[in-house]
Amino acid sequence: MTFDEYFPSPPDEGSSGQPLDPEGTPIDERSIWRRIPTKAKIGGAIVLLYVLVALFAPVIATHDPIEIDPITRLASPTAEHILGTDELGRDIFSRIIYATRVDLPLGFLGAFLPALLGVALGAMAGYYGGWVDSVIMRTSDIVQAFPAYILIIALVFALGQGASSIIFAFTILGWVAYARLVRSEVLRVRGLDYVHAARVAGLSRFRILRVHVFPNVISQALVYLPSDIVFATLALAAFSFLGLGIPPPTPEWGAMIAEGQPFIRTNWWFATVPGLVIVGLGLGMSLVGESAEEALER
Amino acid sequence: MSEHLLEVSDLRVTMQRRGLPITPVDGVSLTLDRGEILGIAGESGSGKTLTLRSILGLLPQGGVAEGDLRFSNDGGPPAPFVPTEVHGHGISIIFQEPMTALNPTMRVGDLIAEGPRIHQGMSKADARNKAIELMRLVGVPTPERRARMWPHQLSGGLRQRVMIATALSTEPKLLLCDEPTTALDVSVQDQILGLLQELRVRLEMAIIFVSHDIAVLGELCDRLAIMYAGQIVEIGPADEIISEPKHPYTAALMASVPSFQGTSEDLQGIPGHPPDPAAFTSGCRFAPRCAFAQEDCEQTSYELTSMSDDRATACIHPEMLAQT
Repeated sequence: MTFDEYFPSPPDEGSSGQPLDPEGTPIDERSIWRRIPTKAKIGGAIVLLYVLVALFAPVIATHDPIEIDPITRLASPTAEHILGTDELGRDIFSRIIYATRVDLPLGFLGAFLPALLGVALGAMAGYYGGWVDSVIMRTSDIVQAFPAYILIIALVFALGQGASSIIFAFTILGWVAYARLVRSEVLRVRGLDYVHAARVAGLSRFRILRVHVFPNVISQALVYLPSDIVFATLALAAFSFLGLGIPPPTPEWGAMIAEGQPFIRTNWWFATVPGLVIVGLGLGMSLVGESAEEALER
Repeated sequence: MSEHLLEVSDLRVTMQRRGLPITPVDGVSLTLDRGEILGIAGESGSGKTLTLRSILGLLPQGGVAEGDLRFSNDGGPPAPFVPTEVHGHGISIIFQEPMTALNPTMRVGDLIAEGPRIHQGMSKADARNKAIELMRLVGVPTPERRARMWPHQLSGGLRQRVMIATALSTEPKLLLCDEPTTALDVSVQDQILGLLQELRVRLEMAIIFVSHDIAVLGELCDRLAIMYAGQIVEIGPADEIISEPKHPYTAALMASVPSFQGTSEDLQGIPGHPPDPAAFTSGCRFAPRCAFAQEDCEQTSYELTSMSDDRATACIHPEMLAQT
């Protein structure tokens, strides 16, 4: 039988109706740009701005962020010091700029590492089932039974103050949400016919997990990631505020808020501006995350 | 008697429903010859899909299949097997929903090429050529171009062809079809049926085709098995079963298929509902709905009885049907 007798010229379009080029992808590249909601563009622009600030911190900063100047302590904003100086005479503007290089990577790492671990464990639990599932999920129950912040504080005390301890503590705690999310997705996808088809094709369990299950469950976890970056950044700032985060003199937003707090009546900008900087990053990430979520639902 | 390709004896599928065991497939036995097309017809819940899937171990979670399965992969006498032994070696399956049967994150060419790459150790380029060749075989127009497409870019009919190509990529001797045309519109359905018939001849491949559409089965199949409430109630050559049913359920199924000839009064539904698997009895399970039921029908235990060399029915009063 010939198909072409039924359909002399096969319909040359994708399911959404837009014409396709010979590669089978949409011709109109601009349409993709137009399909991105404004919300996502704004959020993306904000995040990009932070990344650029971190990259070009030495160019943007006006002073050395850890240089102490006992003469000009707690100065008000001037042309020399845009946001004034802190208790030790360090330039606040430069410290905020340089802190981007601390908070941004740590925020990303503090979200990525738990996500990585959680996705891997969740996929294994869902796909292999049995005792693997039991061990992983009971472990997650144990982790979840602890109050998160108390556990982080305990871990940081045990491991010693510093960025690596904080990231470690985040990873130990944060994987649970990803593992649960991915596990339930794997359980759904595992029963779909294309996974059955892959099994019948005689592929190994690992290959089925890697090629047929994993790419189809990962989108849910990816959507969760931006909001987790916000959480990690905020938590890092909170711990630094409590004196458990990044040790001085490294500039860090949360620590700066703590340092500025006693002077909130006289030098209100000291604590407020680092706070607004954190809010800005949170806003950008949330916009990206929300748009990703909406895109997935469509 | 010629050696069979597949033998299924006394297949039982047990599942748990709210803590109670149910047996949605209850003692199914059938045989299949090389290159033969066997149809399994029945209503939803008759156990036809579970029967098919248990051959490949694809039961839903908690489902357990018991019974004797034998398959001849090398041309010798059929030997017992476990499902994983025939995965990628001898038996393939195609499914009802072409949308959920193709991995949405793989280009269709890579999907078809996967089997040959893994099992025959083909290079990437060879496997790609093989995929394109298979797509041509199943009638996908401009396969070179479409091999690079994603499943969502293809129409339902093309997706189903791609699924068939994927199933054929491991060169099966038996293709199981789980209502592959139900989700398609009628003209595409006809094309796919024609394709399967053509492939059967070209590749000397046997097919088991499960459908609730007895008209489709009559057109396609050599032999037909009618299932009701987890059991085969009648089996035999397709044309004979359709022209001269020996079980009242088969006759009732035939009467409920619309045709272009008669009037709407000729179309008759079957009164009542199929029994719930939790309430299966040992007697004839169709008796409560049967227009020809006798007093002993529900008491006499169910047994598929041969009427001639190739026909069998479970009805203990086939003469009642013959009188009409």
